[in-house]
Amino acid sequence: MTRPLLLDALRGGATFVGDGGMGTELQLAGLEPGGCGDEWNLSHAAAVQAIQRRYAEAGAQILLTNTFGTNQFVLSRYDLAEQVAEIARAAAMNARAAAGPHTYVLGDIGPCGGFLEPLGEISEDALRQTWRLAIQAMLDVGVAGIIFETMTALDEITLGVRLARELGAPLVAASMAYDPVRGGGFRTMMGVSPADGARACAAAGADVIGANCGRMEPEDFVAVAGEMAAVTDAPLMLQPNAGQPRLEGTAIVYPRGPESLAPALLELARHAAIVGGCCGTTPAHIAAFARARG
Amino acid sequence: MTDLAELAQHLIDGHDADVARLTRDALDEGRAPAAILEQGLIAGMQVVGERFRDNIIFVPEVLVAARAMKAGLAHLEPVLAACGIEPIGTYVIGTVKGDIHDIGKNLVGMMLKGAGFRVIDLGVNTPLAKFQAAIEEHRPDIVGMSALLTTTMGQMKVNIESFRAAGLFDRLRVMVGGAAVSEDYAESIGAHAYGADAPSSVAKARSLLAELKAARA
Repeated sequence: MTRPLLLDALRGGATFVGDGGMGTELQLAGLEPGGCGDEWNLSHAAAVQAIQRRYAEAGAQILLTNTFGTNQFVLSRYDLAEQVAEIARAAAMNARAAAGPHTYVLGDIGPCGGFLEPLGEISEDALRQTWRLAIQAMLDVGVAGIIFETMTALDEITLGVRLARELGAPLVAASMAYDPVRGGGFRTMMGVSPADGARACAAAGADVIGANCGRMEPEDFVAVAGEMAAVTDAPLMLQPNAGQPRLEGTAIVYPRGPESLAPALLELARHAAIVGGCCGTTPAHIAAFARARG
Repeated sequence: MTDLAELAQHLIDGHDADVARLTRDALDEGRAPAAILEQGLIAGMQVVGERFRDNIIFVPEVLVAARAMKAGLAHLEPVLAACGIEPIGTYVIGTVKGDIHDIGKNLVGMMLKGAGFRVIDLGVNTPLAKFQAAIEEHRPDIVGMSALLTTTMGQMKVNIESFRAAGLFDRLRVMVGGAAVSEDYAESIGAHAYGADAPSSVAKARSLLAELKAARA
């Protein structure tokens, strides 16, 4: 394989186009609201691959696996707690099948769905155990790294980063979801600032530091990136939503279309090594960004 | 004599053992349970709510305060019940069908309990029939529905229309909340109130309850 390690490429100054939203695309493909998108890696592998292929064709150079909730706590709500490794393996194979020879795949890890002790009832051991299954399964397939994203709690994300390091992930990315707060600045739901998040994730061993989702406009990510860059030299990754969803009639609409989002993403690319999209972004958004980027 | 302001402060700081101890002390001294609840626990939770709303504190601080409140209520509730002090109202709460998110809903439920409501929590992924059965069984004053996902919030409208068709709105009020929901959306689907966050949900629940009681009087 001629493709260099993603981390080496990033350290060499290369920049990349990420992918866009997965959940909304799965629903367009027929996933019922509230259904288990992760399970589709097994039962609807072709549909998952088709979405990821559209992102790759749109110009995404990095694809995330469809494993946002692949942990025992989320999957137990669907009676699938025993299938963490199986789903993770299938997901990594789906993404690899959709990815071209020059496209990287990152194994995706979303929030565990609860709070760690002592605040909540999930023990560190239990979380490590279930994430270990998912991460190991994806590393065995040969993903280019592991990304923790849409995280809001420092204990949770740093546990994940350390675990992925221990398991030998060739790259570990750590991305949190920030909201604007009164009086200026940004915090996660759990009160973590971009500077604190970046500092803690870098200290835990993250190679790439990021922000995604959250109740921010895409333009707000410039300020968040600035706060993160002030405390870490690590390459940054930014994946905003297509604006904040609003209701039009009975339809939920993300206000930023491909042509409106592309300039915003282009601006973010001046501040981050990897730029893609989150909720409400589609292959068309990524294509418009990739075209604008040239 | 136990300082109820100190009790409130311990609750704000999330000191559950201190809240439990001071609640017990106040009861042992013969303080009126209603005063302990109002001037101690609820007063503290009020401050927590305001600080949360103003982004001075975040979810972890609210969770530990709610836990402290629970520690106090554990001592207070049996006494309140023995004195014949009824809950101020009954609130049925649940995340709608197709949605399995419950962090916000649980916070609202805890704070409603703290505010003196009897809370019946139907959990996540709650079908309409389960809401209907709970309304029949528990005769709530308010039903609260939560949705995090833009894809499941439509279910709130379906439920509200069914409650309306069943003629429930002469005795029942409906509140909605969750990340996807907005004030405008709440209004457009005929909800009686929108809870932006846990503290404001409690405030709105109280005012809906007052409205209902005035209408019944």
